[in-house]
Amino acid sequence: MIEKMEMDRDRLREVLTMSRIGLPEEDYQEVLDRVNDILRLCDKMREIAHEEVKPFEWEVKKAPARRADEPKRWSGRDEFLAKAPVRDGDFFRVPRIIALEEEEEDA
Amino acid sequence: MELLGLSAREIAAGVKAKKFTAEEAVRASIERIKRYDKKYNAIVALCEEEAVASAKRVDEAVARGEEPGALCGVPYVVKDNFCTKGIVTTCCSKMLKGWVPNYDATAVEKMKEAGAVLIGKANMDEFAMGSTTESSIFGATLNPRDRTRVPGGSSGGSAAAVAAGYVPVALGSDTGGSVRQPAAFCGVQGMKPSYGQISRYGIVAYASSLDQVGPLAANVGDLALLMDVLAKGDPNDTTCDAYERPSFTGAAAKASLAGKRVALLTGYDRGSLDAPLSAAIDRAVEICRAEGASIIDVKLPITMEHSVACYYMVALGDASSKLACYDGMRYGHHADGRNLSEMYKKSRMEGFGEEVRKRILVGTCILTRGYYENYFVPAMKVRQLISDEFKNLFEKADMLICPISPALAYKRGLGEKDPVRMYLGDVFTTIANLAGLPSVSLNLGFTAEGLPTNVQLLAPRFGDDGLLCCAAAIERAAGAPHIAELTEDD
Amino acid sequence: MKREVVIGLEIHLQLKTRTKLFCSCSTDYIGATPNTNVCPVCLAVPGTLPVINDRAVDLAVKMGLGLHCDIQDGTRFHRKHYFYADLPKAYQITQYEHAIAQGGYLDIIAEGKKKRVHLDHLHLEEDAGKLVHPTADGRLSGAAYSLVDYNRGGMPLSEIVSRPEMNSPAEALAYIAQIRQLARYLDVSDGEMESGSLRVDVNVSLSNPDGSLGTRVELKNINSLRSIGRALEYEIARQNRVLDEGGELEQETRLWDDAAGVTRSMRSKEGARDYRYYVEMDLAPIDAKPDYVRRIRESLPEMPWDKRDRFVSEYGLSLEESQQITEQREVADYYEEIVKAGAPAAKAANWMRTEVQRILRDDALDITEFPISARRLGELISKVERKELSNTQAKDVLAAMYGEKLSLEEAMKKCGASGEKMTGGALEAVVEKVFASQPEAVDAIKKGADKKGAKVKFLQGLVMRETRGSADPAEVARTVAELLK
Repeated sequence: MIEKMEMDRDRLREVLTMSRIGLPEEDYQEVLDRVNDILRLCDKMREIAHEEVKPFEWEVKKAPARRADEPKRWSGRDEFLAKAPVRDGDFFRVPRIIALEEEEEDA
Repeated sequence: MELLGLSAREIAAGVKAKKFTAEEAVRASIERIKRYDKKYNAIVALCEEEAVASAKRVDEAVARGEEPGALCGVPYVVKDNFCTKGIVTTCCSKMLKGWVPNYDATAVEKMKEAGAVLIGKANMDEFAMGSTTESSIFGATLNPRDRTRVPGGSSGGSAAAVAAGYVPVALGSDTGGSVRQPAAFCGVQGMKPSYGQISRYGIVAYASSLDQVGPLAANVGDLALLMDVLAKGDPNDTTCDAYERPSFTGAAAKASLAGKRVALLTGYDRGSLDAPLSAAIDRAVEICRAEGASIIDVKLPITMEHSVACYYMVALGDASSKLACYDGMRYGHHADGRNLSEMYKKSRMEGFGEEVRKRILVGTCILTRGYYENYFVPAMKVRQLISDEFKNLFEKADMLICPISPALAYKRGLGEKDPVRMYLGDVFTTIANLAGLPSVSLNLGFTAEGLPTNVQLLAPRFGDDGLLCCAAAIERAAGAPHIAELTEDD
Repeated sequence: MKREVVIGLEIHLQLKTRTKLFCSCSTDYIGATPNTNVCPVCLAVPGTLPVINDRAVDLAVKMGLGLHCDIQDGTRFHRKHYFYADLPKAYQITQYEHAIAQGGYLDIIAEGKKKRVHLDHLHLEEDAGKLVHPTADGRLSGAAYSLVDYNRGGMPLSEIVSRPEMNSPAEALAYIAQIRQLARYLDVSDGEMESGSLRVDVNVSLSNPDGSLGTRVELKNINSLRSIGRALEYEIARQNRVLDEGGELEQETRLWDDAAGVTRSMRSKEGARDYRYYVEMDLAPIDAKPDYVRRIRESLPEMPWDKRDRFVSEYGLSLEESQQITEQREVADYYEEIVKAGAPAAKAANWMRTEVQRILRDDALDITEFPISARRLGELISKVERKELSNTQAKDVLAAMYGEKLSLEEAMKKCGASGEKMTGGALEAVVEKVFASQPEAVDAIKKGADKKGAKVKFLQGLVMRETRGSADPAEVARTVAELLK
């Protein structure tokens, strides 16, 4: 009998940071329930996943030829940059990478 | 010239024979959309100018005596997660609202090369996450067969467009049933080809190892024609197999079940299905028998018991990964932040709808330390066991019949509440994606209330031609579905 | 207390391909306008897919074979997830559990001793973009915003991970130098730390008295070999100091501050990152069947250490001479061509290490740009060996060949080094000329004031110099004596 795991709030809070998405406190339970429902569905499944079973891999009928090392220039570059939300000349510009103390507290 | 109800093959032949022009076909399509779609909301972007210009080019080429292409003059729509050059592509999400890609998906390129004319982009669940096409920022699509019901999802707009007679063919994407289930709810023929059959390049990804482009049409012959046009290797997608495909049109034309071994899926409670859908299964089996096939009952215990768990692990894990590139920097919705993390967070919070955000969180959770080793890794192994179970099945059978959905098209805003039926529904739709099998959602008539009853046909991986051959035979006996009667009334 | 130093190195080598690892953008990004070597794939535009570069796989296998690794067939890529401005997909495609090359080793010579350092593996991964910070020192700390250039994003890297078997900064430096030399020999990478085609992350710990491994500290941001030496010295001293004072070391990543000469804790608030590695399903397993590996193996050139040892045994060079000449493969090839053209091995080695190296250094040339063919140089050196020219004359000839782009014959003629000995009337004329330029000395000798003969020797020396050594010394002495009478 393999140990059952259950997703908890602490891990969910870490996941919110990891995925750069916020979630109102009142929705935590719903997400936890969703995760745990799936985990419970998986519990039985784990019992047949023996050591010797290999992880899934596609069978290939005919492998495509590997890409030759020939450079190509993308003609859409200028248009793309012109429309980019954070464009700054030839660069993309991002705000302060290391957050200030006060900004971290709000996060 | 009444073009409504003509198949893609008939339109292409007609344009080629100069019975009518591509422009006429395209304008007829556009007119129908303009007239009715306010009520059905299947189309989120109509490219009238571009379409008419393309149609004119096709007509000029025909006039010059050039080889016009297998789909010349055929109007079609694609789901709004297909990148279309110069045409807005939003995945029906605020995250990509107004985004105009500067490249065409390979599938769109192939359609263009074949002379088809893109009329517009079809409605979908946001980022393909849903099965009712109710989560789009453009509002819900209504089922052309019954406006109080959903068209299914996530390719609801594409399926509805065909059922409504806007276009003879449409393209959707199928990750866990997203072409076949809407085909069933809208009463058209839909197909998910084998994984690796059609290039995924330019289809905004949901789950890398589950996604496939899926054609929708009013008849199997058109599905086969689309397969001929689309199913080719692509240097831009190394998961797309490079093998030499047989003629799918040729296979469909053979339309034979003689000597075929047909397996009927058992091992679940047939009473869980809506009665008309259970009857449709029986009818399909009867037709196969009458057409010379032998029938065996089969059970797929591993598949039935574990495919849903396996699917959720794979699909949600991959989705959380593939949606991480939306950060407001290079494209898509941007919100300012005082620092990098805040910019990411605000852009993603504002850009993604609630359902999408929740699925990203769930998917991220299951990939984290501990859960990955104890749940995700076993799921990858069980996926192999499911695939093996099908390989064994297809050693003694050429085709499997099973339901596509336990329920007829739901009423809007309701969805499936019964957990057993929800589970079964998930099983039926996801198994083809997990094992990469080709699957057709075939219409076998309508209920007295006019609701469609489809069944699902599965074949071994890369056996798409054999599958179309069988499907065409069943369709010949059962009849192809008719176009829906639309109404402009409220 | 003297604790044993334990060092492990992770070296990132940029592979010398023309395109990126997963798209066809050019890899020629040094000096390029920002964000011009980009495309929808490496910008992570929705709907795009990675496509592996054929040559990158070849080079990774080549390097793996050079490092005596086992090449694995059917290895997969994994996704390593994290958010950062230089990572468009928010995951890096790398190899996690199954590297394309496993095991392996590298023999190094450090402080005169030979040592074998074992490797854990070599794997393929893509590089991230570059960030530019508008701070005074260009560093991230204190930057109110940053600029992102994705030209470098997607470049192919091979990461070489050693076992923690190096026990001194000298061994670490020798290891890095050997990796770099191998990479250049195999034409797998430019291996330049300055331009970033070779980057090193250092792991260093001090073993506990009972022999168990101590707390491991990772050092990053070290951009030259010299800095690696300094950083290691500093960190080893720091760790010893902390332990001597009874403190505990943290397992952490520290950044090297080259200006201040110290390592600093990174103090990241995110804690240990969870990268959520899992298989990249957009890419098929990498095909590396035995036939293919054999073909690559057959295409390998002579290994630098084999060449070094062979030059010692075949050409009788000292180890130090051989190391110098075989340091760069093209120089070694050039040397062998000289010897093939008839020059004796020892003399040829000397000429390589002195005359040729001087020109290359002074004019900042690579041997491949050196305009004098090895054959010609070989002929020139042979003439010296046959005493047709003096060493001094030959140097003049070489200078003329190089500086004035003359052929060997033209240069010899120009320098008056016809290969003949200066004698008879010509020699007498030179002696007269020298006498005319040194009237006091001549006078003194004639007056008998040169008791020890120093002034005569002085005049003889001047004559020898005038003839560029092409006269016979005995004849010079006779002629001078004659004309002094």
